Amino acid sequence: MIHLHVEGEAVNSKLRIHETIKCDVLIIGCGGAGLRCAVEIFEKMPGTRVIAVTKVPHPQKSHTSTAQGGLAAVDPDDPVDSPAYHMFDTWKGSDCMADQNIVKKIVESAWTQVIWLENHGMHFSRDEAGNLSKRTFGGHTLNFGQSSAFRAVFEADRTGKGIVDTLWGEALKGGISFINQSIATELLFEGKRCVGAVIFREKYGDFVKVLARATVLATGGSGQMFRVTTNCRQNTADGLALALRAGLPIMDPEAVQFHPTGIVGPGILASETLRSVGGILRNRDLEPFMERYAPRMKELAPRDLVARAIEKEIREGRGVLNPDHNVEHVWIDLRHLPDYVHDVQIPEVTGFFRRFVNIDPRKELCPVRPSNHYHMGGIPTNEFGEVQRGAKETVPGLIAVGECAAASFHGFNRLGTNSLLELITMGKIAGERIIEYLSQDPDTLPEVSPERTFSLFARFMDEKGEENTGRLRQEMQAVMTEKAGVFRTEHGLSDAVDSLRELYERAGHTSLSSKSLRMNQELVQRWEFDNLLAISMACALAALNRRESRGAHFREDFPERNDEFNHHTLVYMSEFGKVDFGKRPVDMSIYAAGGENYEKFGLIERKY
Amino acid sequence: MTQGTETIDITLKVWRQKGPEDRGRFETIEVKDVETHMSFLEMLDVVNERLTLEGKEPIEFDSDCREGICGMCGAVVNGIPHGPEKAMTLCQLHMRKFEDGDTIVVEPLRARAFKVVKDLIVDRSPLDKIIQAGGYISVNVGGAPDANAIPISQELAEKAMDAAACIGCGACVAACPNASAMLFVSAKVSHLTLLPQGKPEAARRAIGMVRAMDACGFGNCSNERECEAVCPKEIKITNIARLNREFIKAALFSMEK
Ligand SMILES: Cc1cc2nc3c(=O)[nH]c(=O)nc-3n(C[C@H](O)[C@H](O)[C@H](O)COP(=O)(O)OP(=O)(O)OC[C@H]3O[C@@H](n4cnc5c(N)ncnc54)[C@H](O)[C@@H]3O)c2cc1C
Ligand code: FES
Repeated sequence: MIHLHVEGEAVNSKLRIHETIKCDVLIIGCGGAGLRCAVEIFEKMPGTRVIAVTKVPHPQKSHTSTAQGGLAAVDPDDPVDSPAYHMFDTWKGSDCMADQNIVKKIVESAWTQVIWLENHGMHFSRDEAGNLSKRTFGGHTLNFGQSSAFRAVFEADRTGKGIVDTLWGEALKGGISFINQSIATELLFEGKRCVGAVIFREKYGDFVKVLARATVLATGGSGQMFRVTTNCRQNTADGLALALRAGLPIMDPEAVQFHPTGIVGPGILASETLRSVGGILRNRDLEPFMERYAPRMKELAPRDLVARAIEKEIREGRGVLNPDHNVEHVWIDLRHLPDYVHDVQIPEVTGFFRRFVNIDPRKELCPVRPSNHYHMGGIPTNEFGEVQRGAKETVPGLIAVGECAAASFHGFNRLGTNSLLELITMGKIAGERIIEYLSQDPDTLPEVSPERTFSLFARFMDEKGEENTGRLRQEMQAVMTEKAGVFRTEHGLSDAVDSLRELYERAGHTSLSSKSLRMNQELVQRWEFDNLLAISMACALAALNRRESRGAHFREDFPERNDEFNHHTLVYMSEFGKVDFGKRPVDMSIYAAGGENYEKFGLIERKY
Repeated sequence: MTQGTETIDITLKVWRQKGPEDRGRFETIEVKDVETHMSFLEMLDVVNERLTLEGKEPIEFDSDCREGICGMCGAVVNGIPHGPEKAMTLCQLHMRKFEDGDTIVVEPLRARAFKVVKDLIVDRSPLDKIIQAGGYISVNVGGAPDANAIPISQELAEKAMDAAACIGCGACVAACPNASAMLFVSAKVSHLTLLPQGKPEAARRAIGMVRAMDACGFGNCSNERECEAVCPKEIKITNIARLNREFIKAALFSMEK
């Protein structure tokens, strides 16, 4: 029973379902993944009633819009590149943890999806002949690792925005209904079947129940777990927390990517392009240290390797202290690059340095440090995006796509430009699956009631004490960055687990300055903090459990990869901090098929 | 505070409004020890933290990427949408641009078509309604099989590319004495119409979007050029000339029928 004090009583009466809406498909999240899925449904089944929810005031402000670099796609007619090379790079990059059925499916449908976007008005950059331009990116190679591949198509330095603008227009055309600035707070079930979700509309301060024949989770990343991140403020792992609270597992939460070159201060991303055009990483003594870590690929080695090299330099005392932010960093040197490169190839990033940290990269060294970037782990799905309850069993009516999902295309390390590719391919595949599902499923929707949302919100309203959510969040981010970041140890991770428990306790002593439900960002932040704590906990515990190093997960006490851990980890959390682990095998169907070059898809070594 | 960090004291005069129906008023807040390396929004974060610790309601404002890409932030700072720096979003503005003792006036991006939701947050969804009226491609380009099969000249590509840079922040609307959304509409129309994929529906698009703009309560363009001056993405007013041409062509065409 929840007791609210006097002030809260009026609020208590508002903790109820204001309205019930029925639809065919509910999509939670309007980034590239959610929208691509919606558009597929409209194209194949016009007239489907689709409702899409987004936390942000406008769907096209979703995080996908900030993706700069590009989208990897091999034209099957390309004279030098081949889908097989792309599959190999993805497999190798993942440190043998990507599922090969997914890799094959995504890579083989990539080019068709690029053309689809182009035909719907996306404006890819062109070369002098008028054809699509292509860029190189770390880890993407020709001939199984021989040389860099020009594989990423892009729209200047705003590829993600081009995708979202295009999909947004298409979705509007199809008749989508958006519920903006609203959060999904709970998935609804009838038995084992998912039948919709509860949505909290921030603008009105009320709750609506959306009953849907199929529900899609497309909530994006979880970067706010860490102190320095390239992710936006909305990336608070909501979708993963919704799944955990519903008793569903999340997979490989410990697989977190750190981008080597976040700009010191804001943490914003200094794109990998800086290194591909010739930027050099230097330490305090101005030594180009990457030569020591990756003699062949140097600056162009994959992200996890470069990030570790930088952190190691700093730890061994060869970093530089930035007085404004009190953080140590290394330099990226762009001074030797010709004006043409600055003006034409990297104008946006050079602009970032100028605007955010007041540095002119033509004349000065630029401070960078690894920054949290991407969550490879997520809600486990099969190759159609259907959410899994265990290694095999799926949840009827529930789909997950995009960064919040783990199919898994990226395994333990994602290659640059492979995420946007995943959104547009898996988004479409999930859409197709939903259409099949809708045609089989009887058009009936049960009356179910929420179980958790109101008690949770009542608790937040009722909490009293001196703690401040914003501060606690910063403390949590510092713990995660320090103890569960680029380098991990048994000791550090155990500390992190203890700290997270303590923070969870202290979070019960925060109090809201306004008890109103309308436009109360403090309340929403409190809710988000619960999500962040849960996923941080899952991440720390899974990292403790994985006593090996693989891809972005690096245990100093177990620095080698270990075949015992050639499986995905499923994490269930019945209450905060209490977890059960399960296993899911890694699909190696390309290897098992024994076709041409199959041996490249075995348990290969990862050297660059 | 770390050694070497410069700080300034400022006075904020910030717009507070509880909701769309509230009349709203300016609140004066003295803010001490603002580190100058902070961005404007980080400064607001600090103010909000201090306010909540005092048990007061934080200032509500929009932001997301904080990199100048998403178009979510925006407020009028000392009379100028996104503040005094050229070609910048509010999240890119930094406190080092201000002096110790400065008074800074912060207001929402006001316009007839944008309702204030709370404090500095306005409802920019009327821009969505304009897109809904034609900001997409619905005719397939003769089933074009391959993107490379529709080569596009670099010059054309660059023009379309510049127009496609619009992030839909709404600063142009707030800057315009008529609260017109012409720069926004023209950017979208130019981007789509310059490309071969978008040509077939050029007429329908121009008419549909301009009508939707009128219906949403945005004003007309009277060539004040304020929009161009505040656009964080430096979208050119020549796009409006292109939109006008498309519109006239379209209007003539539809009369002939
Ligand atoms: C700075 C940066 C640059 C990048 N560059 C590249 C690149 O060049 N190439 C590449 O391949 N990848 C890149 N990535 C990665 C890629 O952009 C992301 O992984 C991808 O955009 C995620 O898309 P999504 O659709 O899954 O989620 P998002 O685009 O993050 O969308 C999530 C949606 O869910 C909504 N949402 C979240 N929680 C809730 C909730 N509780 N209720 C309702 N709605 C909710 C959000 O509001 C949003 O609409 C980059 C990432 C960053 C941070
Ligand atoms: S917050 Fe994204 S542009 Fe300013």
